Amino acid sequence: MNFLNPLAFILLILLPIIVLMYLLKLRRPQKVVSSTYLWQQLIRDIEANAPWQKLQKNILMFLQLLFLIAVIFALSNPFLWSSGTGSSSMIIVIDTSASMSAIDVKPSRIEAAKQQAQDLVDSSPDNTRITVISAGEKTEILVSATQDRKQAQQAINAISSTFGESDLSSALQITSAITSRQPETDIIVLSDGNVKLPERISIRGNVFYYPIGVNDDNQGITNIQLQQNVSGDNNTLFVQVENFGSKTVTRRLNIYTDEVLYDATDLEIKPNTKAIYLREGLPFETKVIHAELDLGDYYPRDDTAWTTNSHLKPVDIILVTEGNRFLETALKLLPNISLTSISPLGFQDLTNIDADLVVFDGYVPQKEKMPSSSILFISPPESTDYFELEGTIDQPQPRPASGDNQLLKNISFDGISIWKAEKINLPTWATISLSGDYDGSSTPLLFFGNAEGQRVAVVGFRIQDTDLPLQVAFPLLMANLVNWLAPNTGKPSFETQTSLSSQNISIPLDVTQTSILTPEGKTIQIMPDQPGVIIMDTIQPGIYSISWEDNEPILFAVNHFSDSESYISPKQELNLPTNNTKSEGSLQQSRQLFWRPIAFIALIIVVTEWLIYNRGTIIKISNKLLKREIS
Amino acid sequence: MSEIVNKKSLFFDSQFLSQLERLAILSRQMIAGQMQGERRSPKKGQSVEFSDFRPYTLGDDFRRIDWNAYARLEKFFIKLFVEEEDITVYFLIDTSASMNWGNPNKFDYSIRAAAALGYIALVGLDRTTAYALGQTKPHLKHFPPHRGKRQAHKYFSYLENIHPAKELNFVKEIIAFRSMAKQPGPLVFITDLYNPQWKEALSTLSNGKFEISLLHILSPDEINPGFTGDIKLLDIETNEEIEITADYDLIQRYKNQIANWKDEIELFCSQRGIHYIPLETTLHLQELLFSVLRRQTVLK
Repeated sequence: MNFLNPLAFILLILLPIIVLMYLLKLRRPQKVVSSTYLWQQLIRDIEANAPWQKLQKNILMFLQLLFLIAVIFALSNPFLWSSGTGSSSMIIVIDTSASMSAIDVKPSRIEAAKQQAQDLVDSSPDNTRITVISAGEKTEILVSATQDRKQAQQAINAISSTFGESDLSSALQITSAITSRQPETDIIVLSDGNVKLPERISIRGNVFYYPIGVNDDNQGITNIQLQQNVSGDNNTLFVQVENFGSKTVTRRLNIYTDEVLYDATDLEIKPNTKAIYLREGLPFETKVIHAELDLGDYYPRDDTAWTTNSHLKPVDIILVTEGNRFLETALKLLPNISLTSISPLGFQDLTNIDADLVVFDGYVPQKEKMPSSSILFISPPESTDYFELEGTIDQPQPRPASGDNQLLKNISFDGISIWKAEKINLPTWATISLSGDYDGSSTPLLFFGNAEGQRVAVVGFRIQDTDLPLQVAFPLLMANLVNWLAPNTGKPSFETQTSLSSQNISIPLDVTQTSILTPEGKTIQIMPDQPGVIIMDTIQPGIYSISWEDNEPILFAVNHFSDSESYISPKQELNLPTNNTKSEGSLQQSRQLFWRPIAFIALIIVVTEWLIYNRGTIIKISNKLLKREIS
Repeated sequence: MSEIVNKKSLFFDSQFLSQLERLAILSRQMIAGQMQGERRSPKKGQSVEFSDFRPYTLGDDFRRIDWNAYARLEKFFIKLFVEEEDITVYFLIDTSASMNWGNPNKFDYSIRAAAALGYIALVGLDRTTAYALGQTKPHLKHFPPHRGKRQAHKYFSYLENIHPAKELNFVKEIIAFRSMAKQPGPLVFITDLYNPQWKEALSTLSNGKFEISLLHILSPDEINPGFTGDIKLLDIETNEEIEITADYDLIQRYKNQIANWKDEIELFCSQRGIHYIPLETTLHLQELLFSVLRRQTVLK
C-alpha cells in the first residue's frame, strides 16, 4: 500500500493528546448534591461487579481515537498499485480450448483464467470499455466495448472450456479490427499457450499475455481401434497411450467391455513416448469398449476413450461387365458396399462365386455358371432359365406400373428416353415395375421377383442407351434394387470417429425419422437428409446411439484425440507476430485510490460516537414521542 | 389561638391550625405518664371511667367506699377508676446539611412537619419535646417537654430558630438523645438518612421504648437527577467529591439504586418495629397530615 499524502500521518500526534486528555481527566463541571452517599455506593458496585465497565466508560475515547485514525488514513490518500491496465479500452481473450480444463491450477485453468479476467475487470479504471472474447474452436464475442462491469463479469462467469482446439487467429483478427479504430487498447490474452497462432497479423494495441498453468504432467489415450480378426469370430483391441509430460510414469489402463471391467494393466511410459496395449480375443458380440487411465494427471479428459464394435458384413456385389462407368459409380456410392468389377471372361474363370449379389451387365453366363445368389440382369443379350427374350424394340415409352411400386419408390421416369430395349416375356414369378409402350403394345422394361427362392431383377435396356444415368433417378433406382436384392445385409458401418465436427451417418433410404442418444443422455430427433443423417452435436466425447423404427440401435464413438491439447505444458511466452507483446510483469500499473470508503467508515464512527454520547436524550425523546402516540 | 397565629404566623394560618386540632397523635401502647392528661394510663386513678374494685384497707379514703357493694356483701370495697395521664411525644429532627436541599427544601419541609405534628401533640395535652440532631447550641439542640396549646408559640419559636447544621455524627447524637429521653412515648424521626451510619443509628434508636415513625424525606431531584455528562459531584455535607459520567445507563442504575435503598430501609425498619414512611417534599403538608399519616396510623 502506498500513500499519496504521507504527511497526513503527522496528525497521528493527536492520538496521544486525546489519550492524555482522558488520562488527565479534564476539568469537569462541579455539581453540588445533597449527598454522594448513594453515588459512591453505585460507583463502587459498578467497579466491583464489572471491571470491563471501566473500559466501557472509555468507549467514547476509543471511538474518538478510531475516528481520528480513519480520518488521518483517508487524508493520507492511500492507494494500491493495480496490476490491471490503465487503458480506456480493454479486450480480454480467454482461451477455452480443451487443454484449459487441466487441473494443475485449482480448480482448473479455465477457472483461474476467469478469475484473472475478473480481477482485471475489477481493477480497471472507471469507464473502461471492456470486450470479452472466448477463443475455442469457435470464436465468440461475449460482450463488446461495454462500460458495464457487471455485464462483463457475467459474461466471463458464463465461459466454460470446450472440447476442441483453440485458434487464436480469428480472435486476434477481431481484436486487430477493434484496435485499428482504438490504438490505445490493451489486449489481454489468458491462455496456456497451446493455441494456433496466425502467421501474420498486425495489432496496434498492447498485447499482454497471461500464461495459465504450471504443470505438464499428462498422459492420454491417443488412439483406440477394434480390429476384426481374420477368422471373424473375435476382435483385437489396440490402444495407444502417450506420455506428454516430462517424467516417466506408470499408469494403469483399465479396459471395460460393455461397462464391465475386462482387463487392467500397468503401462510404464517414458516422456514423449507411446505405449501400446494390444489385446486379442475380445468377444465378437462386445458392443462398446471403454478404455480408461486411472486418475493421476492434470488433464483427465484424454484419460478416457471409447470404441464400438461395428464391423458388420458389407454387401458383396460382383459386377460382371465389359465396362460401365455409370453403373460402377452408382453402386460405389451406395453405403457399405463391397463391389468387385469383373469382365465376362474373368467371370467365366471364377470357380467360387461368393457374393450377395451378382450384376450381369449386357452378359448372361452359361447355365452351370449361373450363381445361386441374388441376380440383377441388365440388358441380357440372350434368354436364360429365368426369362425369354423375343427380340428388341426401339424407343419404348417408359411407364411405371401402378400400385405399390417398390423399386420405383420416389423415382420419376418422366422425360427419360430409351433408345432401344430388349423385348422380354414376363415370367410367371416376376412382378412388373416399369413397362415400355411401343407401337400400341407393351413390354416389361423392369421386373423383379422371387424365382424359386432366388431374388432376381431384370432391367431390359442398356444403361448407356438411355439418358437415365444423367438423372437423379438413377442412383435411387440402383439403391432400391440393391436394397431389395440383398436385404438384411449391409447395415451402415461406423468406424470410431475422432473428429469433433459434425458426423455424416449413412442410413437406409426409406428411413424418415432417426433418434440419437448422446453420451449426456439427451435424445435428439433428426429427419434424415438423403442418403444419410448429419449429426451436428458430436462435441461431447463418448458413445452415441442412433436408432430408427424398430431396428437395433447403431452405436458410434466420438473421442477427443488431440496431441496439441493433450500436450498441456504451459507456454510462458506467446510468439505473436507483433512487436508489442508483453508478459504479465510489464503490465502498466494503475493507482487504485480508496480514501472514500475510509472516509465513510470515519463518518460512521463519528455518528456512532454521537449516538452513544447522547443515547440518554435520544431514549427520552423517543419515549416522549411514544407516549404522545399512545395518548 | 389568634395570639399564636399573630406571633408565629410563619408556619400556619389559623384555619389550618384549627384543622390540626381535630387530629391526635396515636399511641399504640398504654404508657404511664407523669401528669394527668387525656391518655389512658396503666395506673389506677380518679377519672370517671370505672376500672376495678379492691377491698378497703386502712388508710384508704372512706369516701371512695362503694356503699352499694357494702349493702349487698357487707364488706368494704373501694372503687378504682382508670387513670388518665399525659404521654411524651418526641420529635427527632435531622438538621444536617444534606437536609438543606431540594426544591421544596427538605429542611423547611421537615420543620413544618415537626411544627404541625408538635402542635397536634400540644393540643392533645401530651408532653411534646423536640431534639434537633446536628445543632450545637443546647437551647437549639433540645426543646424540653411542654404541654398545652399555650406552649405552641414556644415550640414554633424553637423550630424557627433552628438552622441547618454542617456536620452530624449520627450515632453519637442518637445515643445522646437516648440518654436524655427517659420516658417512653411516640417518636417521630424526620430525616433523609443520607448517612453511612443510618443502620446503626436506627438500631440504637429502636432499642429504646419509643414507638418510632420514620419520615424519610427526599427531594424530587434526589430521586430523579436532572444532570448529564461528565461532572464532578460535591457532597454538600461532607464536601466529598466524586466524578461520574452521567449517561443514560448510570442514571438508570442510580434510580434502581435509590429504589433498592428504600426497600432496604423498609425491611430494616419492619424488622425493628419502626413505622417507615417515605416522603417526597412535593407532597403537600396537608395531604401528609390528613391523608398519609392517618392512613399509616400515626395520626387519628
